[in-house]
Amino acid sequence: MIKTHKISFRFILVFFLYLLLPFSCIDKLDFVGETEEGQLVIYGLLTDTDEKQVVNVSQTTIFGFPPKGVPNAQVSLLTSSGERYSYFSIGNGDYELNDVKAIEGKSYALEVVLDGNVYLSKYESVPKWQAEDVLSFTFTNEPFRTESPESVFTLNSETTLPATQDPIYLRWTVEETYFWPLVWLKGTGFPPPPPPPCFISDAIEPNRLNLFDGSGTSTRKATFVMGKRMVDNSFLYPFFFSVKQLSINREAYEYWEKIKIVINNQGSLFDIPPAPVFGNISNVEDRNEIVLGYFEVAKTKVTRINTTRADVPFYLVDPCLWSPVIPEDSYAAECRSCAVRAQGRRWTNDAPEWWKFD
Amino acid sequence: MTVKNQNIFSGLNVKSQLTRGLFKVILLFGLTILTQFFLGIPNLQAQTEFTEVKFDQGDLPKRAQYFLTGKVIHLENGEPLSGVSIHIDGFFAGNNTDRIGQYVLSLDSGRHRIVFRQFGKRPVHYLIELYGDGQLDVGLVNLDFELEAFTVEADERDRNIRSPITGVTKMDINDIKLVPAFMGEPDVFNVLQSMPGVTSVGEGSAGMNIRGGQADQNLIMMNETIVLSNSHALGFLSSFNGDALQNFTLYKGAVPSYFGGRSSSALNIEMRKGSKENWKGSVSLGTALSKVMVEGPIVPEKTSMIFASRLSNANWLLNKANEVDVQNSKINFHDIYLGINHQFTEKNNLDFNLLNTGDYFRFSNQFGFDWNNLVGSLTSRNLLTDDLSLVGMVAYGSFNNGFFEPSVVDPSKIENGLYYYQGKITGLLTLEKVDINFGAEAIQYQMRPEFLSPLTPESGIAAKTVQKERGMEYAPFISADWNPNESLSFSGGIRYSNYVQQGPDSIFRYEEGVPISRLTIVGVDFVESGKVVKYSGFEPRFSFRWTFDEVNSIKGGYSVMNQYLQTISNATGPTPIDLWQLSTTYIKPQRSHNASLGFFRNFKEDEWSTSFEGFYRTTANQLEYRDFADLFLNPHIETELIQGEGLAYGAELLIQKNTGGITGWLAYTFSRSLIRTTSEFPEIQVNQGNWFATNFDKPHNISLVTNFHIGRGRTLNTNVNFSTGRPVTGLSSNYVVGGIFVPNFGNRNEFRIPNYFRIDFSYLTNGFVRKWDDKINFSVYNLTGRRNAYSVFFQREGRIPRLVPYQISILGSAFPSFTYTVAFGK
Repeated sequence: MIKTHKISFRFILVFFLYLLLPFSCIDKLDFVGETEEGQLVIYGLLTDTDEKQVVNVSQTTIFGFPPKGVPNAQVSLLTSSGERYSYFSIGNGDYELNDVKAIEGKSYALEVVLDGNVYLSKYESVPKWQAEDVLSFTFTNEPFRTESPESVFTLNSETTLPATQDPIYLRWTVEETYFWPLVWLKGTGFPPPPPPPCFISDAIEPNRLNLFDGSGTSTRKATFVMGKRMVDNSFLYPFFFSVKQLSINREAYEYWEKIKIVINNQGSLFDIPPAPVFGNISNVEDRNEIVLGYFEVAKTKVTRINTTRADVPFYLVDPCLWSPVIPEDSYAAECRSCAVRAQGRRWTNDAPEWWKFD
Repeated sequence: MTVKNQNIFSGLNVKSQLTRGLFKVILLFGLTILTQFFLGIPNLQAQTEFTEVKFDQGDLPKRAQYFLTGKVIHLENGEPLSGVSIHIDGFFAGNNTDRIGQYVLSLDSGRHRIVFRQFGKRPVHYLIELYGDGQLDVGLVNLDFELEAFTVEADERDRNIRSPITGVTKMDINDIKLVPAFMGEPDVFNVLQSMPGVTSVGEGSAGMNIRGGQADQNLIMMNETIVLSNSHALGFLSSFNGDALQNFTLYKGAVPSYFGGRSSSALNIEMRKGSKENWKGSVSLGTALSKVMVEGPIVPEKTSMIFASRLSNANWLLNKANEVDVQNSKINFHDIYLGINHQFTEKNNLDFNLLNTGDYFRFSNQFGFDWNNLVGSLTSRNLLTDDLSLVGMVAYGSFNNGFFEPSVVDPSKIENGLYYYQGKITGLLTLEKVDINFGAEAIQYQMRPEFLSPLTPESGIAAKTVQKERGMEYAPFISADWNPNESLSFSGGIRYSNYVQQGPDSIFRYEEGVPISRLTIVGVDFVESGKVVKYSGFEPRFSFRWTFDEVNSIKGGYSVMNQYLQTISNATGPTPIDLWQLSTTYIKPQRSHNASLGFFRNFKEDEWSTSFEGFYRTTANQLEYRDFADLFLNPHIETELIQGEGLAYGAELLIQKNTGGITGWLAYTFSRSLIRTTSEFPEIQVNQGNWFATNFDKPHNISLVTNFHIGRGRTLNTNVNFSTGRPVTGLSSNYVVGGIFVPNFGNRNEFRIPNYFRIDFSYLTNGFVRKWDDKINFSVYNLTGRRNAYSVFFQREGRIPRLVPYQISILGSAFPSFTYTVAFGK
């Protein structure tokens, strides 16, 4: 009996020595991968509205860096009836076209000439149907970016599809624009005029893709979540949400569906393995050249909704509230500069034309 | 449970990891061995002594077979011992002593190694020269009063030297129980993954990859009946209940000709027959799994049954997870096994086996699946003459599969599956130096139509049905084992494999000169009935063994195998809901050529056994999916697939310690698994038609299983695993379209995730109640809580204009489990 105990002790000793040895096996490793630069990316959207038609031409850069805009391309819109319209460069790879909009029954292609190479998209036509969006919003306390409940704003759309058997494919983009008044520092002498307010715009969730395939369903009315964001002091003042509904073609829908798979890949067991996504643009002389991006033609409708401070059920602090007892240099920079407040987002001092608010 | 880590992504920095990992594992094994010497743990295991006995017929006419009979008793008290297993020439064929300790064996004339074994008793070895009927009475003694050492192997330890076929792994349930496993459940697949040549894509992947083969290239059988979906809980556990399991045999080298239909390996799991003497059983309650087993005689000495069932109770564990999605998830699984054996006469008996398994899994409100599998078989074993036996088997299998998306808008469910009828007849003719197996096998497959239906009454999803194929596979086979002398053994056979796809089916016609796709369909032909397409081919099988002294042998083998049924999936790894797909006009059958060669050597009277084997396989028409393949509800699935050549090669080293206070094995495998697509159209070639690694290509695999036998039925067991990280598709750059940051992926499977390392631990001991036959199993899976990567993904972090790599771990922490088992009856 004694012998057994001694042996057992030795076994346990060995056993624990044996286990302790490999505990240091977890190493942090750096990503080392070969990256490919210089692949051409062309994205163009042609709508049936009077807005500016835009195209972006860029090149991929080293992984981890934003793509590099290509400002020196010749970009043209071609129509099935032989017309040609030229875009003009506004810098950073962005090109604009005014006074042209897609017309039902016509089809369009995009041509980009760069360094002697001609890149041409397939001809795309304007879809016939569009849905009706009715927007609403909720403020809730729920887990969002962390596991603990947070103050969350959710934008919903109750969408009604047309009563037709024709397939309809929808994509929505959502943009937020909020009002931010700068603090009016009156100084000691004659007070300067109040600073112009900021109108700051951005995508509500930069990597959210809202898609709906209306071809295989009898559902004609459904509520979709268009986007979510944290509630912060941006909600102190009027806050607009613009939902742009794009009725697109089946091929464009399939392209965006693949993009959605790629950006939503979480590496889970059931995820479709990622792969490069190719669009409808190619080099006319070298079909093997990989060209990323897409040219899409969409029937478009924009719907808006706004919130005010009265809608927000949470307590919000205004950091820029003027007080005679606060020294002028104590105000945060975001109270004195739109650029600082915007933190890289788009901003302007002029109210957008649709900003109808007292 | 899912855990996300940021920024821990490896490219090809494998070499230094491997060197460190390899060094540590070797160090561990060395430590284990040195410990034995320096701490003086007694190795009291006696050397294997064979008692030689000769039985002669005298002047009577010689026969091909003779009877060996006798009685086995307990040496200390003279009581007869029932249920003693009798192993003949290294194999256990189900022979046991009866309730009064008696046995009858019918053996070929010649030399045989007979071993009498019973759990807790010292085995007794005999070398019998059987040239006449003989009687051999045997006495066994207890092990537990005499030593701390233990013998864990069920078969003879020199089987690796003597058995004629290379690449065979065989193990019985007592060995399986000693390998720590997930949920503490003894598991065939878990043990196999610690053996050389067997890996998986990762935790949570259903199926095994054997010698660089895909999971669906393994023929998995229960008593020779095909079992298609064979794992639970996302692959963490096999569907075969350890309580009803007798043993398993894995043929990963040369597969005998009586098995076919898959291109890589064959795994046959033998289930236990119920006791014909008395009723007994066991009940287990565990933290993640509960089970019950009952067995006994329905008609004493004639008819017995065994019933075993397991039911999961793991949902409370999900509720403990940190992530809301995991908390809102649900996992249930069950399996039921029923076996009935009836003995008409000593020469004729009938077996009925029924296995039902099923899983339900729902991940939050995002997706889920449920599947159910039913396999039933009837097997008749008949000894027609002393030299000829016949085994006939008929079986039915049914597999139902459902994948659902409980989304807010238009929740839907997709259902598919298949059923099949299997028939097989095998004859065994035993001549003086040659055993001849012959027979035929046929399987009729009928794929179920694939349904899309709304999951709730509110869903607007329009119901849709896609008809699927049916086909028949049939093959006559013959093989012979020839043992010209003790040193040489040859096994050769041939199988003529045939497959006919039968109507009805719609065969799409495609535009010439362009890749087949949805857009290039030019017409469709409908075949109402009869043959749609037929494939056939000879499958030669050959293996040899040359034993050039008592402890060294060389074995080699070559086989050709065809495969007509395969899974198609575009998930990261194999999942339980992968689609089974028959060969069609466009999907050609896979055909593999397998070669292997090995050197085997035992040391110290078989206390240590070692082997070194190499293998090489090529496979034609291996399936690969196209990018973003759309597999569900697709009537022309060939447009989503591409076929190519598979190549697998590697080497395996196994060092096994069979006896003593510490037993176990160290296995190292070097294995490569590559594929290249062979389309004539460059635009659909994967990775430009170059060779690339499959997603389970893990060149270096090391596993160390160690069992510390403390005595009195207590064992401490560890299982250490290391493998190279598997290949994944990585980023080559990122770009922006419409304001969305998009990762631009490069060539398929170009990068690797970090290396895998895991330690499991289990402690098996007797229970608390002295008068009960109760046992406790405490085990911890992933003891160090290492967050092994399963895969990687890339995501934008907030508003930062760049993508960040993340790794995902399926089990990111230690997973303890506790099982208490009470056995009743004797």
